[in-house]
This record gives sequence, structure tokens and C-alpha cells, in this order.
Amino acid sequence: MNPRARSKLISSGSRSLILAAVYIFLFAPIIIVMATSFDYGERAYVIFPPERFTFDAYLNIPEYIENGIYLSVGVGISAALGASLIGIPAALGIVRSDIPGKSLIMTLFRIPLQIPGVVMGLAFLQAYYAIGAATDWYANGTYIGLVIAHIFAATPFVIGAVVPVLQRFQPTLEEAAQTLGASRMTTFRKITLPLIAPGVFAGSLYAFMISFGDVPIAIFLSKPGTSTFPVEVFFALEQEFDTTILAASTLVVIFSLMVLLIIQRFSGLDVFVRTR
Amino acid sequence: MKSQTAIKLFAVGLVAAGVTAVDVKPSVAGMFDGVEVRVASFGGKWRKLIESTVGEAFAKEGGKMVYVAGSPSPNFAKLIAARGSEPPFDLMETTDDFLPPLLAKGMLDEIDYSKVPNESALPSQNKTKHGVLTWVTQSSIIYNTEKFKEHGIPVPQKYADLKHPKLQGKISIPDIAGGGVMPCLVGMALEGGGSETNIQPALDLIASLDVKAFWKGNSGLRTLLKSGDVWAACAGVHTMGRLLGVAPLWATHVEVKPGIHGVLKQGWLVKIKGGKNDAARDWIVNHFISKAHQEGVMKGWLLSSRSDVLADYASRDGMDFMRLKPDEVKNMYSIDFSKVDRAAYTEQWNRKVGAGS
Repeated sequence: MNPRARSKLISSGSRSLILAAVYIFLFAPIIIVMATSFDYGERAYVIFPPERFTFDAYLNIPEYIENGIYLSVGVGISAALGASLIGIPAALGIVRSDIPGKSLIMTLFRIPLQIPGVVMGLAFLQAYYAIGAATDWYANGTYIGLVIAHIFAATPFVIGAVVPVLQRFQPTLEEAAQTLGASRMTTFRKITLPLIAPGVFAGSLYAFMISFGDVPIAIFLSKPGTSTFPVEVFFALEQEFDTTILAASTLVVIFSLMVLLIIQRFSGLDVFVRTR
Repeated sequence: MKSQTAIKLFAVGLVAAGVTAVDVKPSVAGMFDGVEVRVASFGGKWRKLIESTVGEAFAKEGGKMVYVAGSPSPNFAKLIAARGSEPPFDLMETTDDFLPPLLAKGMLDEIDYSKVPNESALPSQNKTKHGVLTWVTQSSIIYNTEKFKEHGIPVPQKYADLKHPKLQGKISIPDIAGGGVMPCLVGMALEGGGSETNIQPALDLIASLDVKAFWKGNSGLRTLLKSGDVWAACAGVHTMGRLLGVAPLWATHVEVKPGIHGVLKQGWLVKIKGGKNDAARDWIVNHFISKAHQEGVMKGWLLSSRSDVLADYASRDGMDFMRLKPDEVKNMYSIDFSKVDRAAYTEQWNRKVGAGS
């Protein structure tokens, strides 16, 4: 083998090794959780690879875990919608307006990213009690209370995803539409929104993920009936290893994969990375 | 004619359905019809136990026990935030470290022992004006008998024995942020001449060990012990109880002070000030120390607070890794958490252990 071919082979081999290592790093925890979920029994520890194969853990998922999943999906979707409703106009304002101190405003919108989740959860809890004392309506432990806190945490992600798309956006396209007689609303609906859709999609997905995976905020704002999936999982696994929890987590992973596949089928996953 | 028959059949059906509906109602009114009590305690299998032994009995009396899953730390934070408003739960099962602040902040109601007949089964130290002891675990050194034999390591008689050269890189100690740290830390401190007010000897010892893992949760530690990655761990005996028969493990209770073997970690049930339905709360307190619930506690390898249940299990085979006789339990060290400054200890830990000095 000549030196050039050998060097090419080594280079290609090392690339493959690095790629394999990255895939193992990314997928190993998920694969272990999925595989362990089929080893059901009164186990107090994790066994990998599993010694048995049964679907019993899936048939015995506790009701409170199921309810937690439904609640988390609902709260996640609501938070993603709410964060988008705030984040898109905020991003438009930051990029398009001429108001002074735009960088300060952008920094202010990023503040939730700097606050630890535990602090945010406690702050919302205190605020809800204070509001409750004044109005006799307590938002802690309610669906809406959780959604509001998650919107606060998720909005910076929507802004962060939409702003770069808007900055690359060519205003001449909007000017052309308006020159041809389109109103400002029609221009936004037919020109602006489709062009910033990748950013909006990506931001909403981030917002959903932030909400769906949150423990530190929801831990303080949950009550029986409004306890999210990650909170239930956290308190369950804190005490005892339980395969039914892994089974529920596996179903969530499969559900997420299916959602991604559906998005891929209808619009392509590149909408989440495309910026122009 | 056919339609008249159909109407008659429909009417008969309606009456039958009505009778059935009346029949499925409880024939005897419960003591707590429509009463709801919110009980905050740990999640997972602990929740299953409480729901099956206490919740179901309460439901038979017409009441509803609403379970608020959560560990004492976030529950305490919720109580602080709710001060001046309705508390987020009526009863709370807490670890002993949260009792002093709960008492100091006036967050607890007194228990009416005239409505808690099961209290007669508890030794006097297991009940106070503001709480009943519901479970106990004993801090111990859990060790892998096969690895110790194979490598000729003697069974540890004191925490300092963990310095054995062959154990280095094979030890697990609770993390300062974990719930199980204080009994281990105080035990090591007592052995080295310190106490719960002076944990420096414990920190010096830990810093001198090559620790494989600082454990935070029992399930993680059990996995390490089962896999053989860890040969010796400072942990509650319940951790190994659940591995009996599946891993070659045993527990030893270190003599931390002359005549004192091991340190206790305790769980207490308390009534939260401002909680609703006082009679129902006392009824639930009574059921937490019922024989049925306390036997469930023992099945989870924790120690019951009832003397009769402890005595029953003490006479069973294979239970001698736990110290169940009344004198043995009495001669363990109970930490005075009013003297514990967790924040300061965390800082000391970070300087001594975290810095690896």
C-alpha cells in the first residue's frame, strides 16, 4: 500500500472511530434505559445487559406516572405556544425597531437563562403565594401556574432561535410584497412568517423540551394532580430503582422519535437547523 | 304491541339499574366521609406502601388520602413559601434533620395522643408532642464478603479501617449533598473524637481515602455494590437488605463511642400547623404506627418504631446484619440536629474533600 493510500485509510478509520465514539456517547444512556426496562422484577439495582425479557414493566406503569406524562405533554405544548407568542414579537421588536438600548433589552430577555431553575421555582412559588394572599387565587399547584413559569423559562430560547433568522432576513422581500399591494398583516403572514418558520419551529421545540424535561421549577409548583412526569420520576427513583419508571421513560423516548419522524416526513428535520 | 313490550322491558331495566346503583353504595357510612387529608412523603415504593396500608384503610372510612410525593427538602421549602397561607399539605413525613427548623419556625401542630391508641406500642423516645417516629435506619459499613476474603481484608471494626490499602479506589461514601450523609459523617466524627458540632475528624478521614464514588441515591449505590465496583460503603443497612441473596454483602456496625454502635437516621410523621381535619390527621398518625404499616416498613429493611414488630423480626433468621434488639437500638447514636450547621459543613467539605487536599 502506498503512503498516500495508507494515510487516507488511517484518516478515514480515525474519522469512523470518532463518529462511533460520538454515537456511543449520545445513545448509550438511552439504550441502557430501554434495555433495562425489559428486565422487570423486584430489583433494587440496575442490571445491564438485562437477564430477562418481559413486557411486565410496561403493563405495570403506575397511574401517577401515566398522568404525569399526559400533564407534561400538555404543559410543554402550552409553554411552547406561550413562549412563541411572546418570543416572536419580541424578536421582531429587537431586530426591526430603532429603539435605543437594544442590546440591553436583549440581555434582559436572556435573564431567565442565568437564573438557576431551583431559584426560579422558589421565586414563582413565593410570587404565587403573594398574589394568592391578595386575590385569593393561588396559582401554585395549578396547570396555568406551571405553564406561566415554563413560559418564563422557555421564552429566551424562542427569541434566541428567531433573532438570528430575522437578522439574515432580507427586508426587500417584504418591501416587494407591500409594493405589490399586500397589507402589513398579509405580508407578515405570507412572507415573513414562512421565512422565519425554521427559527420559530426550532424555538418552539426548544421551549417544549425545556418545559417537558424541567424538574427544579416544577418540583416547587406541583401538587397532587399537577405533578409532571420528570418530577414523578425524580421522586420515585430518588428512593428506589423501579423498572416501571424506565418503561415509561422508554415510551417517552419512542414517542419523541415518532414525533421527529413525522416532522421529518412532512417538513424535514432541517427546518430546525436551517437559518436562511 | 311490540313497542309496549319494549317500553316495559326498558322500564324494568331502568328499575334494575337503579337498584344496582343503590346497592353499590357503601352500606355503612364511614367515619370520615368526604374528608380529604394531604400527606407529604417520599415517592416510589414508599408511596405504594403508605397508599396500601394507610390510604386504603382511610378510604374504607370514606376519606381520601391525597399523596404529595416529595423529599423533606423541597417540602420544607414549600412550607416556608406558604407561611401565612394554607399549608400545601396536612401531614408530612420528614427525616430527623428537618425537625429542629420545623419546630423552631412554629410549623407543627401537637398530636392528640388520646386519638392515637397505637402509641402504646412505641417506646417513650419514639413519640414527642409534635411527632411520632415512623422508621429508622442504622448507619453501617456495608462490605463485599467475597472480595474481603479473596484479598485478605479484615472486616472493618472502625471507620478508620477503610484506610486499608487494598480498599483504596473501592470505597463509596455519601455525598455531602445527599440525604444519607449526616449519620456517616457524624459516626466518623465521633470515632475520631469529634461530634455533630465538630466534623473535622470525619473530613480528615474521608480526605485520606481514595473514594471510588460519592453516592447520592440508594439505587445508584446498590448498583455499584451489586456490580462489585465498590467493596465497602458507608450507608444505611436497608441499602444492603434489598441486595440480600443477590450479592455477597454484609453489614458491620462500627463502635463510634464506647458502647455505642452506629448512628441512626430517623423518619418522623408530623402534623403541619394550619392543616385541616384534625381528627382525620390523628387517625392517619395512628395508622402510620399500626402493626400492618410497621411490618411493611420492616419488609423494606428499615427499622420499625414499634417494639413488638422489632422483637418479632429480631427473632427471625438472617436478620443479624441489623441491630434489632431493644438494647442494641437504644445504644445507637441519635444526632442532635439542632446542633448541626449543614451550610457550614458543606463549606468545610468543599474545602477539605472537594479540593482533594
